[in-house]
Amino acid sequence: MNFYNEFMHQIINWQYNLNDSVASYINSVNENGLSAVMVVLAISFIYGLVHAAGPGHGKALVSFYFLSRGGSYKKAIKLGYLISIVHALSALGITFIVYFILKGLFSKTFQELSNISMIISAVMIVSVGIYLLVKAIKAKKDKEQTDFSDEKSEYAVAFSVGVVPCPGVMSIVLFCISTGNLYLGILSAIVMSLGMGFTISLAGILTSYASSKSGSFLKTKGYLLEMLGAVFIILLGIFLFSINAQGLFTPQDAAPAF
Amino acid sequence: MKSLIIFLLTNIVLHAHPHMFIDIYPKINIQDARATSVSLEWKFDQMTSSVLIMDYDKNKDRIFSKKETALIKKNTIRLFKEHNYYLKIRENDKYIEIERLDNFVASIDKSGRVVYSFDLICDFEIKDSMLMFYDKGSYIAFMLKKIFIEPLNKNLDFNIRKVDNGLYFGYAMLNKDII
Repeated sequence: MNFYNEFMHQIINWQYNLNDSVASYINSVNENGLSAVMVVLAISFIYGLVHAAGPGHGKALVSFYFLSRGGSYKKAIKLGYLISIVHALSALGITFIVYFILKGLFSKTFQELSNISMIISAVMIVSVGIYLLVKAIKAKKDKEQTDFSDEKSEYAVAFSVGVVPCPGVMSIVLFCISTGNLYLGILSAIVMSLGMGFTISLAGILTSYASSKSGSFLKTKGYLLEMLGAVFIILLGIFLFSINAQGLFTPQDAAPAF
Repeated sequence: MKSLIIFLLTNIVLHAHPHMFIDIYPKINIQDARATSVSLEWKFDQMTSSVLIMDYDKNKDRIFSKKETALIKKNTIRLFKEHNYYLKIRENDKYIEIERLDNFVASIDKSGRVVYSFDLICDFEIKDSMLMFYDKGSYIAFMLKKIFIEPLNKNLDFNIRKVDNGLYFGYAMLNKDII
């Protein structure tokens, strides 16, 4: 077994244990009060951190974005947390819409809305990639430095990834509602997203660090990195679109909702 | 440059990760050194259970009535079939086809976890057979432990193995022989 497979098994086992612990402590909140609430929030943070360490949650997009644009560690942290905030808001919003407004099976409706949001996300990712590519080509043509202070693209990246609701956040909110602790559910979702933001930021920081160590060739030909990163983002969006469109039109390929 | 490429390659794996955890309790039913069916219990994690209870236990009596079970069955069986019951059975070098699913029951245990119990009708030789539990979409993590298997299969000599191919992960029950 190689290192990656062993690492993935470990991540899954940690999530399995954290998922069980957080649920058990949520169950005990009504008896144990504030101390149990603090433990729930602490575990939610770690759960978010470990959960985002698995594949997904926009780490690939953040990496490609920093490959294309470069940027400081501070910027990586900002982008990571922007994504996690939108991610949590999206999950909370969809959960409340399905729970309080729409009727029908919760798991199925949530999954259907998730699939639609994934399509929107993929289209937005492609758009961000095209925008970055055009900007890089224009800057090269005009022999200008790319404007790294452009915040519009950062918000676009954050929204394009974050719009997909995290079912992990949805589960914790619903579980809290079922035990009569709605506000704890909202707090746990926010704290969980802070944990996810930490891991997503780390992806940006590591890409920045790896880019800075990439040698003199890429430093002098920086526009190549900008274009390459933008192309990767476009390909990522196309790939996500193709797998999610398949799930939308042939439900057996979508995530199961029992 | 090398460090950058390695980092990006390890970061671009795009498949989903588990949001649902299911403990698997398998019992192999044996006749003349051959398995005639596999009885399975799927025990959902507490959070997923609460969503399932919210969806299906409409009268909130903590019991799935016949009508409620029928709705679960209607929604679940189709998914089971499409995903080959999330189970791959190997006998020597060939894979065994699962004939059908029987005796589906849904219940809620004392700790509030939802349990699906059912039998999968199939026929295979026990010696050196393998039951692999995994979800290709990596949305569900199937957990298999010795303590789940042992009390149900006292006449079996078995091992547990990890299943992985870089894209999906699960566990396998490797049957050495009947004791």
